[in-house]
Amino acid sequence: MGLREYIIKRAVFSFILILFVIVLNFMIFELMPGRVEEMFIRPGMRREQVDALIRLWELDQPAWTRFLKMVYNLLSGNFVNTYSYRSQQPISIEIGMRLLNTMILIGTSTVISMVLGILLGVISAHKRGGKLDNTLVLMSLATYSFPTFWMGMLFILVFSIQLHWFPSAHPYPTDWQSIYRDVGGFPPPAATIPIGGISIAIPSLTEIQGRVYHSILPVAVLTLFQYGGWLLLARASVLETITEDYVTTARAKGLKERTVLLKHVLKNASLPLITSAALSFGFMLSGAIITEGVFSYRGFGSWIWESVQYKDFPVLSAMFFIIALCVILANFLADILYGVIDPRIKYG
Amino acid sequence: MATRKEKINFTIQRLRGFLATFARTKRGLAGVAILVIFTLIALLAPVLAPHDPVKDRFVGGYQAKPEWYDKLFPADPQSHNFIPMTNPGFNNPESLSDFNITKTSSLVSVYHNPTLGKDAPGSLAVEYKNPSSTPAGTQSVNITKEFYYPHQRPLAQISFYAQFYVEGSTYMKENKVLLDVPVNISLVIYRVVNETTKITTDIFRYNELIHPYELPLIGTSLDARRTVTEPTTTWIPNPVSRLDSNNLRGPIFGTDVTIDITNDTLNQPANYIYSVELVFLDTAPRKSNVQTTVYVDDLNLKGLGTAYGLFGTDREGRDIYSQLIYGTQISLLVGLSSAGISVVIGLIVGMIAGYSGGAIDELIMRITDALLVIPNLPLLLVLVAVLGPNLWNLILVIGVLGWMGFARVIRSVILSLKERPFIEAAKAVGAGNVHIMLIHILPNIMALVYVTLAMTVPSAIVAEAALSWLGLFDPAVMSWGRILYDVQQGLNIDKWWWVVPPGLLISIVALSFIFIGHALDEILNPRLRQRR
Repeated sequence: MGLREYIIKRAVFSFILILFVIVLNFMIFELMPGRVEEMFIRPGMRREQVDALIRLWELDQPAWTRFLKMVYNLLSGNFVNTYSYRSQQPISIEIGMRLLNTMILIGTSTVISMVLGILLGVISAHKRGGKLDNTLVLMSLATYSFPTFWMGMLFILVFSIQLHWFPSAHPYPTDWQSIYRDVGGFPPPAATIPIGGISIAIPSLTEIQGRVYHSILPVAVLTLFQYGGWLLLARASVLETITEDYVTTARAKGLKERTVLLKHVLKNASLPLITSAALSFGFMLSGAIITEGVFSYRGFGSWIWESVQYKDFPVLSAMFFIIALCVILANFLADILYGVIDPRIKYG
Repeated sequence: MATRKEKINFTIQRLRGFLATFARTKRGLAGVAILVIFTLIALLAPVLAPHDPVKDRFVGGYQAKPEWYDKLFPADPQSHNFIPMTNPGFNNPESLSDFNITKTSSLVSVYHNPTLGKDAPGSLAVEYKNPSSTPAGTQSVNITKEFYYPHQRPLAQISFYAQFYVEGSTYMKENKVLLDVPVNISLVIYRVVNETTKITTDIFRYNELIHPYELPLIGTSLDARRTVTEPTTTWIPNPVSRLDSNNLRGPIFGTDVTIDITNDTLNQPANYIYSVELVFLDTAPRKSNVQTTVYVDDLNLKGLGTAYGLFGTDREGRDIYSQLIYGTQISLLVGLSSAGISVVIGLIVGMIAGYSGGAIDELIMRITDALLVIPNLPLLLVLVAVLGPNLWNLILVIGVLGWMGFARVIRSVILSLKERPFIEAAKAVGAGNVHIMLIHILPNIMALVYVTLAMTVPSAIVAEAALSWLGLFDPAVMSWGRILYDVQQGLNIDKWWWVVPPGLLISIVALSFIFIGHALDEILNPRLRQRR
């Protein structure tokens, strides 16, 4: 089987998976015990109001109509018609801002934790069996058993409440809402560069500073949550390669140990690392949900958290789909990447 | 053929060898030791914990600090639970000596009634009896108890308790039964300002006149809206007042009374006097031979301190120490059962897929892949939110969503196992598929099962904690995650004695399983030993 067929096969599988997620998504909320109306009808509502709300969520339509509509909406990425039970506003209003916040959080912490974890993993593998190795492995195992939310709470306790170093909540200063009310609640961008049809805004220094200052604690927590996995993975894959003959050859040539480790070992050990970067996307999101909850960080994760508290099922459903979609796409990319990078892989 | 005895001996020998190897792994031993301790804690929870973790509200003050807090920080003095009464129930005649009783007239007699009582028999009876037909004027009885309040700081909450039961001679007026001699009951707390001359200030007073009263001929409670028609010896609960820092409004002596009193009634170390003052108003013209008896029971004063227990209390005054102890049960139960479910499903699925191969294998593995791709925590959240958070749903959902990785491992192991000669031999002898799977394959993968079980428990424990912390907890049980949910909801992260212990316990228990898993892994998969 060639690369092309391999890609097509993975694409078909991913598409089936997306459909599966949609069906699952629909089934879960459809089979929910109790009447859906109870979730949003408040005491004291008049009959017409209730009817209007039922029409808003199309609960008067038969299940299959709603299902087809949902398939269409989700596949086309259209959340204008999806209303939150809590705010009774379309989900699309909040999605962009929250996505940006979550991306900042996840992106930064992933990069930091990858670099940190892989470096420590290489060191650990190099000194395998030693005291340092034992300590590092033990510490990464410990991060698996530390509840992330507790770590976040400890960080707030120490760095925010006791030391007053960092703020304990929100992705950016809360007073922006009032200071920059006329320009949309955020500091105006420093410049906008038009590229083609779209213009890309370069954020001002104030915005960057504010965001960085507020993101340090959550990013630190999420980094601690992830680095252990990277460390163990890097250690394992370096240990696989470190015994290969070409490594011995490199050493015999008299190369520096650091050069051997970083150029000869890590380069060849990095294949599983690259793919698992994509594969760990779902794991990362789990961490983000919890971290955002602790820090009231307005992103996807805290939206899920809020929706659970308010039983806001349309939001939960949409979030679940988007996250699953991201993970499926990331997996697809990982598969493709794997196939392209390593020609030895049997496409099967 | 080996005899049964030889087989048993062989098993014992292997077990001994295993234990000897295990005893050499330090981490494994540490893990087992921790696990044994926590199992004991979980089993002995009812003995170790003084209170129910969910139901026992206000055993200490609202969000009390730990008992040892003011020893660590003497600059910030705390008050502790304070109950000055030694025998509030009047269960024996000696209990009267706890109180100082003064009366103005010999028409009043105070004695111990051994039969009548609120919860237990025994009460203090104050009887006014006047055989003559001329009114004797007002006569009063004071029942006082002097006590010393030792704390620098006011209590978090004070509750006054007193139960009264009134009976006496009556007359009818406008279809109402009224007492011939009405009685005025006051509850007063004095602070002794001057010890030598016993000058006091009145710092709390509550008054109620019992006169226009629907009194059945034989007995009644003081709740005017409740008419007792049968002769009764049971007392109807009638708490005089429950006083918080907030003003409470409640039926007291049958009427709605608002009492303005704050929790700083006892606000400095001093002698205080708790006094019940009964004034019999024998002033109106009436028939001869009148009598009114007031039975007093459960005369108590309970103060909840700003410090309580080993780890303080939560927002409902529940003991955090008890919650931590009981949380052990939940964590171990959820961890072990969920991991058990995951491993069993993974084992079955993996064995079927690996052993049957072909289209069935392909189908099962694609479904497994699909489930593996769907992000775990959001699915968990959605499922528990939809199914409703109770303990069994949590266990089930966590267990059912955790088998996929293990199934893949089992499948790959079986793919290689089934090509081995001994399976071929078994097939040649005519063994059935089920027989081969159970007798020949299963024992060969049990090592993997144990290791996976130990490694799956921590993630199940942490998952339960995360779900509880997100608010998806079973309201009937108190888990460590739920304790942290309470912290988060009340914005109490600054209270380190409350934040640190639950998370630490979760980590320790999870870590102990990881240690055991690793030790097992090293022993049961000898190939790994050189690599580490």
